[in-house]
Amino acid sequence: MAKYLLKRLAQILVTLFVFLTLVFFIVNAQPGDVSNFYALNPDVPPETRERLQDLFGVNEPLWKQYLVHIKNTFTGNFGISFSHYPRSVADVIMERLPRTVVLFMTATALSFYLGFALGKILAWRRGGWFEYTSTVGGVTLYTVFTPWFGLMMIWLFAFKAGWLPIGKFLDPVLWRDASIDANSVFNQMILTAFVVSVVVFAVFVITGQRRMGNARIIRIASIALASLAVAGVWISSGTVVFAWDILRHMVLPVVTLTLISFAGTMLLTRNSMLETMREDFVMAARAKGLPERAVRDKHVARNALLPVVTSFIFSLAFAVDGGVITESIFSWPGMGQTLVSATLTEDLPLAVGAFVFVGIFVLVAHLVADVLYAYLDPRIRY
Amino acid sequence: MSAVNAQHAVPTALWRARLRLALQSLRENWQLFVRTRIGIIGLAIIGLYALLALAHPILMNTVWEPRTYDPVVGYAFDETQQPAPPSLKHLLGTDPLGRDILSQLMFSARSEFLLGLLAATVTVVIGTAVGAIAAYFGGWVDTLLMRLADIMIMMPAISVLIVLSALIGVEHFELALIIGILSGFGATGVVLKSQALSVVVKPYIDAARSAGGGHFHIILVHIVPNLLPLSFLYMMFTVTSAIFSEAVLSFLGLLDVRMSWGLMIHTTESAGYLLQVTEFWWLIFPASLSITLLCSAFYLVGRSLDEVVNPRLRSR
Amino acid sequence: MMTRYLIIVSVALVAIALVACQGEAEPVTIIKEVPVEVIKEVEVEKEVIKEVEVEKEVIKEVEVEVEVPIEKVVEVEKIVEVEKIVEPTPEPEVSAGPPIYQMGIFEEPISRNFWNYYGGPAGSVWTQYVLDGHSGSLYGYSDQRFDWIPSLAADFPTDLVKETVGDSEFWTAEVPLQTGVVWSDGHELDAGDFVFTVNTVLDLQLSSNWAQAVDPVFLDRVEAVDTHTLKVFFKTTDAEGNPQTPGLSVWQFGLGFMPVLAEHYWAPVIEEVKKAGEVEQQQEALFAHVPDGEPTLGGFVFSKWEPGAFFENNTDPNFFDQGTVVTMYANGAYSQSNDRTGHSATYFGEAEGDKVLEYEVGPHVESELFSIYGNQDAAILALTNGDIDYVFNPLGLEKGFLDRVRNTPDLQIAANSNNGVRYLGFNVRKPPMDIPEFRQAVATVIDKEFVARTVLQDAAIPVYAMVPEGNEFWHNADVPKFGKDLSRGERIAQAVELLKNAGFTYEEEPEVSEDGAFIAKQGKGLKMPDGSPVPEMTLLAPSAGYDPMRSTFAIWVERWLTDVGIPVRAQLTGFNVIVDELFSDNVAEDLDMWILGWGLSIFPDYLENFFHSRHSPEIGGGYNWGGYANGQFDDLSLGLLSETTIEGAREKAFQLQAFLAEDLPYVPLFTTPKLDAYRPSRIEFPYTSVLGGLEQQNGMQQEVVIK
Repeated sequence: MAKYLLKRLAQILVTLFVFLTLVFFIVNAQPGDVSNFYALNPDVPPETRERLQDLFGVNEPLWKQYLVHIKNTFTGNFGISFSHYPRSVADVIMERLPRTVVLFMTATALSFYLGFALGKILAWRRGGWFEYTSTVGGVTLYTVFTPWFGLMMIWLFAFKAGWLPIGKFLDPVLWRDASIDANSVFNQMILTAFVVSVVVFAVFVITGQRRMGNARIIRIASIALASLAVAGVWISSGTVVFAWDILRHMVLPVVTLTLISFAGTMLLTRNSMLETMREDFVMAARAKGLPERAVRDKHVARNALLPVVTSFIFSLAFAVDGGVITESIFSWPGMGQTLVSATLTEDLPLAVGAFVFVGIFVLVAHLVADVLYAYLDPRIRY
Repeated sequence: MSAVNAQHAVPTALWRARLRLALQSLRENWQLFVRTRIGIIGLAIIGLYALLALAHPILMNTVWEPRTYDPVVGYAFDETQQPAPPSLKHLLGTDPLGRDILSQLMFSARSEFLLGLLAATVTVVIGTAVGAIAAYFGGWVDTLLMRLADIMIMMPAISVLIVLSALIGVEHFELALIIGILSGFGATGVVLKSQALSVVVKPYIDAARSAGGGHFHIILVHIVPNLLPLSFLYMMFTVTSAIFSEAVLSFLGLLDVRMSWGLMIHTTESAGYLLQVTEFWWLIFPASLSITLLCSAFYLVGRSLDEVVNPRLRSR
Repeated sequence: MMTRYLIIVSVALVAIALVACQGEAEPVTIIKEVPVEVIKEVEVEKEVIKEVEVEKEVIKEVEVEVEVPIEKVVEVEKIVEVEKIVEPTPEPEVSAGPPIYQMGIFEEPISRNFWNYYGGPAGSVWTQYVLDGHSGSLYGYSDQRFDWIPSLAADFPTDLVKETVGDSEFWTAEVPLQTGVVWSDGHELDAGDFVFTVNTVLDLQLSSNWAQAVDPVFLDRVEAVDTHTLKVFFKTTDAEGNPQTPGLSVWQFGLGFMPVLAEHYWAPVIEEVKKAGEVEQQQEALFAHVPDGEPTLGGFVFSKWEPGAFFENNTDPNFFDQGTVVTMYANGAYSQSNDRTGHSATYFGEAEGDKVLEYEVGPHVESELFSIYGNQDAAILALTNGDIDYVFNPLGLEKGFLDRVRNTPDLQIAANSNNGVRYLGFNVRKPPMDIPEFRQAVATVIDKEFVARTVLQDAAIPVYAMVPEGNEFWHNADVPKFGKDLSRGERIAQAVELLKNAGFTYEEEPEVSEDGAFIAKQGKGLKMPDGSPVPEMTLLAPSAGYDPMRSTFAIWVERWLTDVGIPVRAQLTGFNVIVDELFSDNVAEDLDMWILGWGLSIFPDYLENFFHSRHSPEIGGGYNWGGYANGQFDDLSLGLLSETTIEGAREKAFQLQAFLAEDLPYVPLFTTPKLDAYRPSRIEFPYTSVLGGLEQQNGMQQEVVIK
């Protein structure tokens, strides 16, 4: 196991290196240089442009630039963002990341559960009307032209019906007097999610070991207790209004994202189920005369979960990539919108920084998925 | 290319037998495909858009006067106000620049097909080559290609395209190439390699080898044909992602194309009509729905092919 | 078993999140060295830079002498119309809540460091909007008329005189300062603040707008005669010893407009910054400073910036101009009086006769809130939805947005002229573009009226002179207008005529349809006077994704030129690709034609800047990318720069415009109207007709009244 992980780690490091090299050459493949920044301002004298070229190291030899590029990436130094000058790219990314994480963790988790639940049913009821409608409907949503779908959601639920706020992630009038900034609320939200997960995990581990008859009740009770405690802490901290404001603004993008992406998990679950159903132990379970539902949930679904879980890890990582569109449509200033606006305003350091960051994020997810796979699948032993 | 070589290499009788077998399996597969139903829905939609795409040049040369109906430089002189609502002369109305929407829609359908086809072809050619070579040679060739695949899979595709289009001028051709390379060296290549692995261990490969067949002869004649069904399946998914990427990039204003469905929405957006959903529906729905429909159509066909090609998914 | 998966998934998920966010816990230090990814940076603010350009030297037409007030007035009223869509109906429901001026912007401001905004990479319009209320200058513009009037100065400066100090000679002038002006922290403004600001700009060699205000070629130094009197020293000779005079743009509209920053806050910062090494590092250190608690002078102090969400300024209770009543008279006189400070002054004549404008300077609000939206669509939606009262639209308001605003009962549109031009440029170094008749033929076949009025539905206004019509005082309406009001057939005939007169020959001449409205047969085999065929040329233009208007023009130009046998292919491409091409070393060989645009200043010295041969890339690395070199034009344009009187400058500017419209190194194509949407039921402006619109007045933050 350790040997395998080390090997994977080494591979991923090499991959990262090649990835960075690729990025460097992509960026360098284009003509022109930094001084064009002032291109359309007739006031800027040529000497200033030359000075800027020196300033940004444009005139260094290529190999030197490359070394600096690699070194900078490993030290988290992606340069200075032009559209947030003089803030560093890393600073901007760190500011935007929690917002993306909160939004996409929620949406991905939701679409994962929805897709898994539907996929289970789908695999069991082959050929019925349910299969056709949910497959066609799911695929249509899965391949829908996302910007248009998002805008329709905004138009319908925020503009026409007026149920939800339009775009943005908070209400400026509410926040203008706030003593805290949005990111600390986001971080608190992430922290809460973490604490709750740990508690739930602990409860399940403990109850699972003891094999208690009333494990189910204990689980429900302790989860309820944990939720209550969390709610209590939030309410007493006084930031609950702000968290609530953010949650309210999150509804529309989360629903949209869930609808768009659940079909992927659904179809994957279905296929995985169908494959598992051919295994001998399922036959055995049936032969034992277990009810269909039990066979489905206890035997097939559990084993079919494996590829779904790994795909879930990937989809988390790629959510940042897909978020490009959703965030732009919903004025959600996360990583995706940062990448798009950096590109549109030609803030190259930020665009490349965000891009490299997304790449690294995906790499780490790969590693996590590998580890999980190795840990979960009893058939794989290294 | 490979098909031609294969034909030359195989003796005629064997070739005939193979053809008969192929036809037979095609018939069986078609029945399987029909039974999935969703594939038929997809095919119907694709057919409809193919008809639209084919009809465009014919209409332009017969009933549609280029001055009025040209999708890029046409102008509806007969309308006083642009965008004009649907009328008999302009069945889907005109856009904010006075151009016929139906003509734009049909014209773009053709370029979407070309884009999808090109991207899919590039994907499959690269993917098949990568899969076959990696599986056949193994060793460091395999390692190299699979590490490369890792990188490609790891590439956040939309971000890559956005960054690239900001750096270099990207039109349909470049876009198709980039998507093809990403997918061909990436996921498609990996899937085809695992398929190829199951072929490489077959006894007839060893037989061919001991009979003195060259590496490339074996790859082309014995391995590649076995990869084709799966390649075809992955072509469908590539088409979907190509059309989708094009639409998103055009919508964001990052592509240098003159006309496409995504650009139609972009025109609507930059002119400010995007949220007047009921008042100016003809500016919003035709293009958006076309993107959605054609993307899902190829995806559905891909899914059904999966059921056909992938034996584990077949109905009990 | 299954639950175990789920738990592991959730934990993994949270772990990823925590890993991703852990940087949040400790503040990330700003890295000073600029790494190599920055290699290629292009035009961060595209259009926006041009807009800044427009704003900062808005008008330069005022002369030194006070005797001729009439010509100074740009008659804005004429060019401006207010589009009354709906009578503003008073709506009582909005009065709830504190008076906050709520504005929408759709790009993030870059920095709130004023040094950085005014002379560093933070110079975007969006930064300008939010920092507008943070500074003051000696002189400024009067409302609507753009007269040059004292602001922090108590009066006009003394005339420039030659004075010998020690063994050198200087041009000097003195400026009296208003007394009792305090910074937002209560500290009094004095001459030392100006001296400090000028010295900082000189010491740190700040560029861009700072260099425009403090030009080291001209300015020697500024001294404080006493706490409230400034003395400026200009050099009488340039570096080579040639005599020079500080003209309008150097003194009145240069140094006079320099924003002043607080010495008592910034002096320690600058001292620290100067330890940073080379001047570049010093600049970076200065720009990187986060000005917490910085005292301001423009009526607003920074309150809160929630990145990606909003930027808020609070009203400065110590604002010196608060409560000043500004009155403008029909006879051209301008007066201001403040009961609180006792300051009162009248310029340009007697305060008598009809009043054309009277209002009280604010701020009349408690705070101003700039909500940041993801795009224009979202911002307009928020406006129509009632979330905000005004939206900044530096790139214009296209007709669909206009439609939405019009359909919203309590919104109104202010329509004004704009000062900018989009043009088709030629590389006149290459045949056949070096032949004036060829350029005239191109201009003749381009039907600007058709594209602007019909295709673009009046979203564009055709222009013929390089100074747009909106800039009325400087615009020469009487320039040659090739092809104007001609039918397609006539245009084609005239273009063919022009070409043939210059020695071009056709294998097949183009033919026109019988009604003369359309081309029947395209021209073929066009040969240049030397007998060689006209080579295929490329027309670079922004793609529809960047600017639908310019790309529409490009496509039509391609079509019309092809009709008359001129082989041109429009290459619609990214903005930065075009700019790269223009700045490449091979521009002289590679470039053919291109379509871009300029935001312009009021004083048309840009005519020299764009077309004088000393500004072509191979000579001076300037903006004359087409390599236009015409000795006659060079002399004329230099004459404009050295002109000291308004009348003389105007005459020369007219000549230059006529010259350019005839010789056509650029074919001016169109300009756009300036449309601003706001909510009159909630906010009220003292006036809405002004060149450049409300947007270029930065939303009139000091003047707006919340109902």
